[in-house]
Order: sequence, then structure tokens, then C-alpha cells
Amino acid sequence: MNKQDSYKFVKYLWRDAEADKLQGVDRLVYRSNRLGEDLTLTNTGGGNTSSKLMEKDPLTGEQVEVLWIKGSGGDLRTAKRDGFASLYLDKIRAMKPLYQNHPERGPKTEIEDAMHPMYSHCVFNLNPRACSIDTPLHTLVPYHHVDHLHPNSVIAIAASVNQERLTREIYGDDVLYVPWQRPGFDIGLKIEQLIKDHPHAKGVLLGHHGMSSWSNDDRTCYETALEIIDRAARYIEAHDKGEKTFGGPKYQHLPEETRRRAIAGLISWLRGQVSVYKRFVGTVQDDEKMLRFVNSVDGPRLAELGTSCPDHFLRTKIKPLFVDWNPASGDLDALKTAILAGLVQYRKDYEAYYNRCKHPDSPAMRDPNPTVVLIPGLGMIAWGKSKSESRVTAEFYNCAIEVMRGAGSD
Amino acid sequence: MDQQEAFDIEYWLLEDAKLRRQPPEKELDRQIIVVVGAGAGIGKATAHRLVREGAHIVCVDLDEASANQTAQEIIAKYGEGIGVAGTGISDCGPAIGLACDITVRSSVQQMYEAVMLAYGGIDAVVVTAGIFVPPDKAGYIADRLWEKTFAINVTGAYIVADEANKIFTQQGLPGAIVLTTSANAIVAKKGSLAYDSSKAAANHLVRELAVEMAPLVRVNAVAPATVVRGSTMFPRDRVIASLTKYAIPFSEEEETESLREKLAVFYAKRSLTQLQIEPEDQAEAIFLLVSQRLARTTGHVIPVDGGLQDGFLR
Repeated sequence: MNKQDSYKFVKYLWRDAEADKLQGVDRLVYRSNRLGEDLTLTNTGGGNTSSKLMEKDPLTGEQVEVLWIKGSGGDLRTAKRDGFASLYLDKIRAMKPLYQNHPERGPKTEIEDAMHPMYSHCVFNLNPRACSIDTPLHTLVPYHHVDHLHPNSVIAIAASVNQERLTREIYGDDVLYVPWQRPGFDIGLKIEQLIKDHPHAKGVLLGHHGMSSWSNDDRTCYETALEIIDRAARYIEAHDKGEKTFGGPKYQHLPEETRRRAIAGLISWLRGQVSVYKRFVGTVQDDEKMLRFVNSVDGPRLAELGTSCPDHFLRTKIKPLFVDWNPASGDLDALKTAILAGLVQYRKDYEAYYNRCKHPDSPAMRDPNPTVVLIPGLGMIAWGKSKSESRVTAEFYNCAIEVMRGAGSD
Repeated sequence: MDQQEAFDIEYWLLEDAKLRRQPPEKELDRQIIVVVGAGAGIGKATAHRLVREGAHIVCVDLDEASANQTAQEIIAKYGEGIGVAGTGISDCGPAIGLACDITVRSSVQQMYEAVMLAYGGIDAVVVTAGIFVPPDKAGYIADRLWEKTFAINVTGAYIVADEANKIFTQQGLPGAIVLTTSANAIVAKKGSLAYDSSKAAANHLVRELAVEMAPLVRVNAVAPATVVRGSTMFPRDRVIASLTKYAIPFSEEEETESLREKLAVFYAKRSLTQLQIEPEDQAEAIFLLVSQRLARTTGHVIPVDGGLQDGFLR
């Protein structure tokens, strides 16, 4: 069987005929775009890729090793060459003792957050693109090419209660496991050590977060990423609950015309309610998958558990507003009353969450209004500062639903 | 994941730095603006002007193809955006094209319904659609053409504003409406009976709507002197009729654009500034009226006519 035919849930988009015309960072751009093109591999703006390449130093003319890595805030699907940061590899490697020699190190320590600004001292060829928060991972993995992605299927495994056991069950020794820890030097060093201890591992599953693959060959790195994701998706399919997904249906879908008319009649009012501080632009999602979730028995309970990937929180907030309304009643006035009550509670909860969790140096509380509103019978309305941003918010919550579906599989 | 851990990501200083690296918001960011008549002329120029300031543009025209064309031009320039989500029309970019017959209320309602599903609300509505019906060779305007002129230039603008008002009221956020009247609304001109009368009515419609929709929505208008370039109101026959009327020399063999240029130059010379009035000049004034720069102006008609002495109110 050809390699490309061996995957069931992911698209094999790599073409040697195209890739072989490219060299250096252009091949990294090619690989990144192919990964980003398939939404089963990663979400918009999520994940990052890197290649360690030889480049000519603009000052000395000597060949130097450079880490090319997707820039902070960029998007794999649409990234071009200028979307990648470039850093002298010898300089970023020199950052390691700086971190290791610090008396108090680990996640959330002072030295951990102080490391990221250091990358400005490592910039190759005056490239203004800021590097990803995941740069330590890419630096410390001792392979030329690294892909780090946020696939729904893998996060479903990585967010489940038995994440470590499932990783072993699905991947055996092929894939390492690291529990959740936010990106930084500490987790990079842990992965570096794990690879030393398990030199045959092809990748790692990151608890609550995603996965990474690596190789000294870029196509193999791409294929390994696909393999890790496909194996997770196959496991989820084999354990799918079918009709009983999300506890089964509680409400029937409203007919499309009724649904759309209700949304069109309601949405500008809702926009006014959520745009108390700043105006939002909306995106409506009422496809089959969304309706299955909002009409389900477990939807309200699952929505409280949060979203899929921690880096989605800036857009989706830590939970959506799930409106308590019976669509069978068709009573739109009752729906507005339920939304108003839900909004009041949501804002209170958000403020309490902020006050409970804030640190002395935390940024000021952001807009306490929900950006994802789920309405039984109707679907999801997501909000963002632009159409593009609201689509990203909606996409991220689609991911959350897929993760919850996968994580709920037996 | 526990809430403290979630918080530590949501409010992580490195994530906050990412937010702060984003460019500052533009004047019309977060806004959804409906431009009726966006397929050509002043409407098309307005669509391009407002999107530059960050607005999402709903390009509306009787001619769906031209509405889509303007929307596609915007998307080609600014991109579709990045998120992959949204059902049906809600999976759209910074602009969409919609067909609408503004003389038919149900058509206007359908248009707004599509806007709601696409973007979720509106912040401003601009109407540049209009019609000019010349008299026949005997100088007469048939009743049905008189009615059509008023149906588009007055009633149509009213229906668009009236349906928008329902959305503005429900939304509860301050909004703006800008209509397009004409210098001819106050200048009587031979051969423009129906058009000029309809535009005079539109001028007062602006004031009435401003009263009706206050304080939530400001209603204003621009009053252009003749904008020839890009206008669907200047087909070749009308241009030739005007050149003949003003005794401007021309040849029947000349290209339409050349004839339009001659007429535009003539109109420019009649004004104080001696400058041709372009669609972009109207678009600039419309931008000012839509934005917060003229946030305390409502019920007014702003002339953009290069200074027509006949247009001075006295």
C-alpha cells in the first residue's frame, strides 16, 4: 500500500514533484501549508513547525545553523516565508545553561517567563518576525524538523481522564507522553530527556494540548504527524457512541427555515447585549454536528467543562454560554429572557473567576461577555472583533465539540 | 484542566504581549455597513472607502453580478480572513454581495435577513442607488416613469431606512444612515423634472428620518453635483442629450468615455472649484458622516458639488 493510502481520517497532501522544486525555508513553508490545509490536523492559527537549516551569515559570510520557526500569531495554512522567524541555533542553545543554572526554575517561575524575550538576541538576518511561544520545544528536540499540531482527535485523547494509559494503548513505544504543562523551557527540557531515554520514539503526545512529530527528513516528519493523528482518530471511531453521543438527543432539530428565521430575528438583539463594551461581529453555525451537540442531553454539562486547547481561551473564553431554553416551545420571548438571565450569570461568573485567579501582575480583566453562545434547537452564535476573528472563535468551539465527542468515547 | 491553570493561560503575560503586538484598531473596525448601490459609481467607491477603515461591507445592488463584483474586489484586496467555520452565508469574508430591489419591502427584508445570518447586525446603512429618467423628445415624462423615479429615489430609500430602523432598535447600538440626494434637490433644471422633484423629497426624507430615528440613529445625506464617471445614470444617450443641450461640440463617432469626459469638464467649469466631481469625493463625505468624526450631525444634507452658485441656499 502506498504511504498516502494508509491514512483514513487525514489528507495526505505532500507531493514530491512540488516539494522537490523547493529548497531550504521554502520547503518548510510548503510543509506547513500542507499541514494547515487539512483542518483535521490543526486549527487555524494553531500549531507550529520548524526546520534547522544551514544559512550564510550576512556579516561573516560563513555557513551557520539557523532555526526557522513559524512566527507567533501566524497560521500554518496561510503562512508565507515572511511568517517564519529565524534564530541563530548556537545562540538559542546557549540559552539552555542560562535557564538551567537559575536557582528556581520550572513552569511559571520568573526565569521561565524571562527566557522568551531573550530570543530577540538570537535573531538571524534582522528578521522582524517574533518567534513562537513553543520555540524551546523546537530547539531542544534533537532533530532537523519538528511539527507541533493541535488535532482534535489527539486532544480528545490528551484531554481524557486516562490520557497516559490511552497513549500507550494507541501508540505503544512510538509516541511519548508528557502531562499538561504550559509551553516553555522546562517542558522542552523534559521532552529532550525523554527522547534521550527513548531514542526510537517518533513523537510526543502533550496532555491537554496536542502532539509533536520529528525527523531529520522533512517528509518523514510530515508523515509521522499524519500517522499520529490518524491513529488517534481510528481509536475514537472504534469507540464511537453513535446515537448515544453526548448522552443522546434531548431536543429535536428545528426545521432549517424556522431555525434561520429565528436566528435572523434574534441575532441583532443578541449582538446589542454582548456588545456592551465593544462591538462584535457574529458567525452562525447550525450544521448537523453543532445541532447534535446543542440538542443533546449532556450538552449543558459538557459546555461547563470548557474548551479544547488552552490557547483557544483568548477567543472562546474558558466556557461558552449555554442557554437554558426548550426549542420545542418555539417561544422566542422566553428565549430572550433565558439569554438575559444567562448573560447576567455569565458575567458574574467571569468576574468571580478573574478575581479568584488573578495575580498581582495580571492584565486587567477583559470583556466579561461570552464569545460563544449555544442555543438548543438553533445552534451556535460566535463573536469576534471581525468576521475573520468570529470565524476563528466558531472554529475553535467546533474543535471543542469534536474533542468532547472523542474524549467521551468508550 | 482546573480554572487557575486555564486563567494562567488566558491571562499569561506572553499571550497578552501577542495581543499587544496587534496593530491598533481602525476607525470602522467591528462595524458592518450596508451599501445599497455598491455595484457601480458612488456606491462602489464608498464600499472601497469604508473597507479601508476596517468596516465589513455588504454590497447591495439591483444587479447581483455587480454587487458580487465589488465584494470580490474587496476580498481580493483584503483577503478572506483565517477562521474556518460558519454555516451557509455566515462562512463569509469581509464583504458579501446581495441582490435587492429596494422598491419592494419583502426584497429589502430578505436582504437584511441575509446580513443578519452573515454578520449578526448592522452599524450603518448607505444608500447611493438612484435613477434618472430623462423626458421624451417632446419633453414629457410618462406617469409610470415618474412613479418609478419616486419609487427608487424616495420610497426605496425610505424602505431601506425603515427596515434598518427595526434592526437598529432591536440592537440598541448607535448607528448611522447616509442617503444620496443631489445638488438638483434645490436647483431646478430644465429636463430633470421627475429626478429633481424626487431628490427634493429625499432631502426632506433625511430630516424626517432623523427626527423619527433619533437619538439612536443619525440620518444624513450627501448632495452631489453631477458625478459622471462610473455612474449608471449616464448612459451614452443621456450624455449626448446633455452635450447637445449645452451646445458642447462633439462627434457621434467618439467613444462614450470621451463624451463623458467632455460633459464632466463642462460641469466642472460651472463650479467654483473648477474641479470634476468624482465618486471618491462623495465616498469621502459619506465616510465622515458614517464615522464618529461627524457624530453630532444629523438631519443634514452635505453638498459635495464644488460650489454650485445656483445651489447656495438663500
